[in-house]
Amino acid sequence: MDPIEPFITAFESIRSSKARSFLTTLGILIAVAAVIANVSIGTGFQVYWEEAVTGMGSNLIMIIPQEAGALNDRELDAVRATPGVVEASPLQNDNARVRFMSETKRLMVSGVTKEYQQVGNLELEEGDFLSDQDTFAAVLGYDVAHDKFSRNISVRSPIEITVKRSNGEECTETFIVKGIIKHSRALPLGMQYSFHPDELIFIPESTLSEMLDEKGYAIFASAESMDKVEGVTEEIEDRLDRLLGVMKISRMEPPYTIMKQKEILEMIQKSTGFLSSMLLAIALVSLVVGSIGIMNIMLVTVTERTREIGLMKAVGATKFDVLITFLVESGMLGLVGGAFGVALGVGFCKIIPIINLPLPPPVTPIEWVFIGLGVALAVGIVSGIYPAYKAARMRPLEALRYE
Amino acid sequence: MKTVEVRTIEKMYKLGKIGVPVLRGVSLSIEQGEFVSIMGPSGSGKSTLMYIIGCLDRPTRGEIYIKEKKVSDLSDRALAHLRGREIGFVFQTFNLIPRSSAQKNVELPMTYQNISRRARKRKAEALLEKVGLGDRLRHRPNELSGGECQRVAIARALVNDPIILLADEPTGNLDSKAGEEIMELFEELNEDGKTIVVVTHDQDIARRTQKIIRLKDGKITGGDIIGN
Repeated sequence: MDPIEPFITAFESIRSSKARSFLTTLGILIAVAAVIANVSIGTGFQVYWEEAVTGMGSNLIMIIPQEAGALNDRELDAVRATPGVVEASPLQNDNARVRFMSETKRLMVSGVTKEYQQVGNLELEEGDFLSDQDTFAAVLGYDVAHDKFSRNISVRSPIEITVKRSNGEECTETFIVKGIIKHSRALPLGMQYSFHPDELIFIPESTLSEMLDEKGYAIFASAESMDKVEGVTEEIEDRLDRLLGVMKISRMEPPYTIMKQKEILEMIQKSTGFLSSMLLAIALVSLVVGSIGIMNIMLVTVTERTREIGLMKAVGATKFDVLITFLVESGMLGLVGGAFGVALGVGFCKIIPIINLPLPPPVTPIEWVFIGLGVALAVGIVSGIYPAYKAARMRPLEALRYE
Repeated sequence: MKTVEVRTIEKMYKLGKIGVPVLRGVSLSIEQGEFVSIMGPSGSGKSTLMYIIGCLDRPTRGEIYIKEKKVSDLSDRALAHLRGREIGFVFQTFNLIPRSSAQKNVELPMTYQNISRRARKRKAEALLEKVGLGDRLRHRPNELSGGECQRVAIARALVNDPIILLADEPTGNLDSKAGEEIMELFEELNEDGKTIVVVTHDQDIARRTQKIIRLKDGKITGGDIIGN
């Protein structure tokens, strides 16, 4: 038989019943879309992870208070004195209203010291980072300077920052912009203490705590290198426990937790695990449903075309020819579903950054497009085996006389 | 040369547990270039006989020879090839593929042989031209009249140059004018040397052939040679 002919026949058949073919392939379509979305989100995370590690440094150690005011200057000094710690900075975040010219925006303000530049791996585009002598100086994240306000904020511009104290009073001060940070590759980790530096305003910690009338902060420290993080963390723990009077044997919970960059990344990856397993479950169920759908529609097609099958046999088609004709058609149905599925999956991934889902931008690996199409094709063919076999073994005369 | 010969053919159909005899010992032969009709009332087994001659059905007992070669014990696969190369069928209900153009319908039997795409196209066009449908190549069956559909079907039956053309009530679904045109086409083809067998219950159709084989209750009851 001419090997191209079954493809033309299949194409004509699918084209002649577009709506039916589309509905039939819906299962495959959803399955492939779910797989593509899943893999893309996973790969997006992988890329994100690698960038985060190189961008922010995996030697970062975060010491986060579990009780307000648990960590203070005494604890900061102890951390700074720990061998293996290169730099340590306090970090206090607060929601603030920021006014520039006549515009007001809600932004996050971070109180830090000069050490944070090294700890947070920040590079400046313009001006300088905070120093110990600064009081009403601010260093702006890239987006704050360039995107948040309708006009760019430049160095030496005045901005007004208003914070709310816990007793409800408001406190407003004017700051002079001292520097602007380069667009940072470090990534928002979605945690209370780590916002994307591009969207932050850094001011001296002492100023912020005065404005808030509150003492206490988190401590961000950097270890000498990644492989020292473990040892340095233990040493910090020992020192802080001694300082705060935490007894290990009494199983007392210390009033702080220590997180390493690596652990945070792992935590976020786990949280995407739920989405991933849900998408995988959808994919598997859809694949089975899709397979049944194709088998069902192929059985209908074979019955509808019984007389055509009789005719094919009358004009010289062998069982094998008939088998191939219908297998190609069911394979093509699968492939069409797969193609639409890939499109839907990629489309879904393109939407994620637009609708601000708390996920890194997905990346679709090209080989998964082909795997998706291949699985769709395989499911189509496998689902078509029984109907095609049924068609192939029809007795020609009975088929021709079928009413 | 004997184009087709059948010897003491018997055919039983199973209806539930009961075997119903349809053909009870039929022997006949058809010579090259003959134009034969098989006549009989409905249920006489005339169509069954035709499909057995065309190797589309197997007899319960008996032998079939095509071009003096025994074919009744060939495999399904070999029979499919044989039908493709040596037999052309024309049906009462045309049996065209509704989704395909006239030309594609005519090409269908050639797709199961090793014939190039271009040769198929050329052959199909030439045959449609010959049956008077040279201007209807791209039309689908639902855009053609019944007579035109049957002519497409005849072109399809002729496309692999079969040694015999078998037609089962070819005018049964046509009005008398279209039926007349189809019979004229058969006569023309026969004059060109084609061996044709027409199954019919219509006396007027049968009378236009050269030989009538009469069938009743699965047996040949008589044969008339019609002198032209």
